[in-house]
Amino acid sequence: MSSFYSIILQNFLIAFGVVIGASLFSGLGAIITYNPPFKVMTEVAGSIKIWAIAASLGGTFSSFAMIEKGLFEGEIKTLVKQAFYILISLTGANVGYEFIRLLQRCGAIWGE
Amino acid sequence: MRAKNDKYKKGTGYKFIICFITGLLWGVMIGSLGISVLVGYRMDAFHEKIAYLEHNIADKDEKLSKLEKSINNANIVLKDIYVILEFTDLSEEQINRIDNIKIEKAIKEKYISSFGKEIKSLDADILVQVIDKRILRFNGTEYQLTVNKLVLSDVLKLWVGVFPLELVS
Repeated sequence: MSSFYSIILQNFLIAFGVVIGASLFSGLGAIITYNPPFKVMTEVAGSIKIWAIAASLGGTFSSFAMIEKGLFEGEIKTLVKQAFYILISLTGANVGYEFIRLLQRCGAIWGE
Repeated sequence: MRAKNDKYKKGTGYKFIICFITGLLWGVMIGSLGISVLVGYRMDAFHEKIAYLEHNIADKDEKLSKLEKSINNANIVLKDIYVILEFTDLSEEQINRIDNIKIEKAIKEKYISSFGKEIKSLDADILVQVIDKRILRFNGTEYQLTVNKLVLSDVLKLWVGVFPLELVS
């Protein structure tokens, strides 16, 4: 697998994992602290999305540096690549969020 | 060779312990996460129900306190006394000779201390006993009173039977 595709897959899964992991553990924390777990999980998943994107990109500074390079030094390919990485991370984080929402919906179906 | 075996054994035990602890930790983690996901919805539902019931209780508490206040404000007190005199086995002439106003006044005087008191604090039996079988004397005439009926609300209504014991002309 080429470096580009492997980075895309990694970015996607990191963003996905950050959202899922944070939500699941926040749910566990909510149970311990007598709070509604799914509510807390959904809230955390929604609020942590942007941090999941930043984490999957390896910190935002490197991406900004690449974007700057692409804009001011004319490296359009790098610019497009970075935009694509960000987009993929965004997708991964949102898929993670929807995954948590899906759990909630499943609970609603089976819990009744 | 023996020393090598001992070292090998030691290494195996250590590996087992590490693997066991790791497996235990992962098992606990995955199990607790799994359980939290499984019971999560039910716990959410219980929390919602608790919040709804708490809201309901607060609402009803407020209503109750308002009602209690209104009950305290709406205390019925005795405002007036009506005395209805009843004459049995008496002729018109005899009735006319009886001083109704004086009898009424005398009866009302017995209840004057009850004015302005809460109805709840008044006992109907005691109110009856105040004048029941009481004998009044006016200008040499004795009258025996009997309470036939009593209605107690913000107005005390008494149906008093009057019977002259002896008429002194």
